Amino acid sequence: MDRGRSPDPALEELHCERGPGLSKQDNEQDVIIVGTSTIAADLHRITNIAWTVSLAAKNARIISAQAGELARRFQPITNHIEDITRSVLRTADHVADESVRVTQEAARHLKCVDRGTRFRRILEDAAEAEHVETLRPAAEANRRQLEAGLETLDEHLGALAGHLKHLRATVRSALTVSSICRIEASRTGAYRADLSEVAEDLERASQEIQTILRAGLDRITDIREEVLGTTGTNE
Amino acid sequence: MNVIELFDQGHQWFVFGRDPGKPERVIDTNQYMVRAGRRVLLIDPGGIEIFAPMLGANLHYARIEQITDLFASHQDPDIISSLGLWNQTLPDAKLHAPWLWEGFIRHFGMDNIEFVPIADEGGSIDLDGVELQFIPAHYMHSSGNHNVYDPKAKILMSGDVGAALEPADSPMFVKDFDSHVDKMKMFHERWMPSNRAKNDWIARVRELDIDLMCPQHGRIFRGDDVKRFLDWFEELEVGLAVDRDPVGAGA
Repeated sequence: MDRGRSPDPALEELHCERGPGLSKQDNEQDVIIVGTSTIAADLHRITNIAWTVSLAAKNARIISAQAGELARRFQPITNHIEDITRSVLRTADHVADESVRVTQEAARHLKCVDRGTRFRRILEDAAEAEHVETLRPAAEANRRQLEAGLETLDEHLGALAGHLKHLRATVRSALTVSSICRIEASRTGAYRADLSEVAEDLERASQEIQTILRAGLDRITDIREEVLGTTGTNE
Repeated sequence: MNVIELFDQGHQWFVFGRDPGKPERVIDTNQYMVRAGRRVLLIDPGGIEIFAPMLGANLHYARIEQITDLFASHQDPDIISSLGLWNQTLPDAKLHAPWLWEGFIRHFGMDNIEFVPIADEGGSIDLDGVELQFIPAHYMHSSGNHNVYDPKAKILMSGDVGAALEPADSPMFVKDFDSHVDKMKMFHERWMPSNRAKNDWIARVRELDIDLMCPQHGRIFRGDDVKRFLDWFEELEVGLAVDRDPVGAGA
């Protein structure tokens, strides 16, 4: 697989490796497989966190109802928290779907790269075979498939990054709500501790989700740099 | 990959095997090519690991578009896990394989190649005027399994029957049957599950006129060694991984 020793410059146009050889291919495989599976696993965590916040919001609604007039200004905030968690859960569903598509496309890409490597090996090792040229249409079709697949992979990565950014915006507004929540909780007398806990839960959850989103966007950037040679527009 | 021409009278048989570049722990396999007129059949074309050397060797004897037919005796990875690669290589090909395994074999990736199911009773194909028969070999060792018989060339590709476990640089033909037995015994005792199926297969194969019996592993049997093999195999008890006298059964 040493490109420098290739006897036929045309091979350079047919094979599917974009780097110096198998080590590059292995690294690409690691980045895609580890990257996409980690994103999917982390997103599952986001869903769990959102459910926890949703339960906390429901709990806050009950407490604020018990607090009556004292928590009058807190009650609309619980609606807002529930709206935010619903939005997070909805977006997380889209993200989960998109991350499945990315994983599927990444698997197709790796198969294509593997096929290209094998075709290249045949074209090199069997260069003297009488009918070796008849393999070129398949090798060229594979190269075209690889290019088209990379475009599709880039589109799905872009869509995934878009969903993550949407989530990030939602979580930013959750942080604002948690601050308001804390202020309003301080005015609820005996119920202050319970409702402050809701504000803290929301803030902690938002920060945790933000960390996950940052890692996810970084991984998308890594995949794009390693596989596509671009950085996309994650940030 | 080494290539030997087995037959050349109007159409040709080749065996491909003993690949020196094969990863050490991947079992050595024999792949077969039948070339007739403008068409080529590859019999048990092999696993992913040997796809490149196999196709590279094939291209000395056939053009890509000539390879119109693949045959898989059964579903095992050493038989046909390369299917996904052939699927993207051959523009217009059919895979002949036991009907039983279609849904399983498709896991290797096959959206381009056409699947042609072989009935339990067997069947045949006309390869540009050459008739090749699919001979039932169920439970030998797979539950849906066929051999390929060429009545004109008098060649039986016997799949795992007749296989031997030995180094990848071993000769391609059996030279001394008696000394070869040790290399086959454990394989057949363990991989072949049923004495009834074994005897059914032997009876069927004794009806055929065979000059060469070509297994998917090990060495090819010529002439009288074919009958020697059948006699030896008939005496061999198979399916030995289970207790022959389980508690209570022999009482």
